[in-house]
Amino acid sequence: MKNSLGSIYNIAKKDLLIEFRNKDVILSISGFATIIIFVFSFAFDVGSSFSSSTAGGILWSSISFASITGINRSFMLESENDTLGALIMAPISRDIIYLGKVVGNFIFITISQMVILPIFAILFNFSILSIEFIACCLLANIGLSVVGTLFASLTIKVRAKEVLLPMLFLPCIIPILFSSIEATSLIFEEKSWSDLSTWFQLTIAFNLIFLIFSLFISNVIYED
Amino acid sequence: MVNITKNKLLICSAIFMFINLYLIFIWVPTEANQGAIQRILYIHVPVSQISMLAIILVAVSSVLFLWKRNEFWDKIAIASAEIGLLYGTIMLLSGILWAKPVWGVWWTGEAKLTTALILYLIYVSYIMFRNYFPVGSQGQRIAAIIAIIGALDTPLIYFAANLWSEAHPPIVLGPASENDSSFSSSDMRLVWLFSTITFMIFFVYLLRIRYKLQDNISKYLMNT
Repeated sequence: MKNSLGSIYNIAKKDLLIEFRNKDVILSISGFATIIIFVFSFAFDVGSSFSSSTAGGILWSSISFASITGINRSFMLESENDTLGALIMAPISRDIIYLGKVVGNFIFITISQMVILPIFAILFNFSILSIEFIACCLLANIGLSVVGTLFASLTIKVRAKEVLLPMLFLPCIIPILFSSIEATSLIFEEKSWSDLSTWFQLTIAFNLIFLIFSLFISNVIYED
Repeated sequence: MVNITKNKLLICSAIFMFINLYLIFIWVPTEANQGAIQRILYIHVPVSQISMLAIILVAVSSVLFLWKRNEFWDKIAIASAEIGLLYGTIMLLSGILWAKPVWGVWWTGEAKLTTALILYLIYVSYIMFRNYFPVGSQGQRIAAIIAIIGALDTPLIYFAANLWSEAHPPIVLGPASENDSSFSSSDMRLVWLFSTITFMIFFVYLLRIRYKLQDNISKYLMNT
């Protein structure tokens, strides 16, 4: 158990170390999401009051599009240098590799959100400093990294993966997108935890189902 | 020249299709509430049911392929996915044509519609993946995983879309907005049943052809 946690930590640490040297993934996620938020804010006229559901929709659509760009980028580095092959040859189980990559991607998305959210709050005039909103973001980030890592691992060798990865990823994360948009909208309307609980439960169920499934098939994903 | 004796399924399918068209457009009485447009449902409902059945077949064959590693199940999966997608396209187009005069809108955020569309997109990606991935057993395994993910995600998508449509009720103003029983008489139910059998026979015929084509492709690739 201790060894497994150590291996997960080492894989995530390796990804973070590479990231802090070249800053590819975090820049691509935060930059891309910020631009989408800017474009939406211009399209809907800056300064006018937004409904909470419109703002939630814009925020989570931007984060979803940007996350897939970042996760794709993190796997391109593995693909370019064939370092995933080296990881597969290492004397660790395949589910550890998967979990290490999930932890790395989760940290990338969370750090990127620290850039995206203040810009969103300024442009759309919503308060983002609440425990409910932080819980909503963290739960959604787990789901995005679990599913994103799964699909990025599956499509690493495929032709035209830039097209195929979003096509697989975006329809699959619809439950997370629905629950995050609705939860965000309710948080902006200052609703209580009990109003949010259904959406949080849905996200937790989604995360658990996909995490268990991914761990179950990790041997098949990283077979060669 | 087509050998007629070898195409019993085709002949059977053609006879059933002619009888089906007669029953739909001439024999069955016009529905009082919706009018002639309700006749689309004798095609839309059976086609929808069979396309969902095709997707279940893809998922089951994919599980069996991963378990047994028998190519037969992989060929059934790709054949069923392609025919299921064809039926899915007919389902979406016929549904849109029916919805406008009956519901007053081309499309709504209703749970069944959202789930069907997302599932359709996941299987479009599945087919794209099959075409883009280099030929070999790794591609077959990963395609099987994608098919299982699609099936696994369906209940979650339906649950999320159902919650979403409860929070944002779709606007439906047409003649079917209050009375939803489109097959109210026994004659109508009989035609619906006959149409389901007809489209099922046609599905089995197409599945057989596509399976044989995939079998020939595999043999050709093994020889080259």
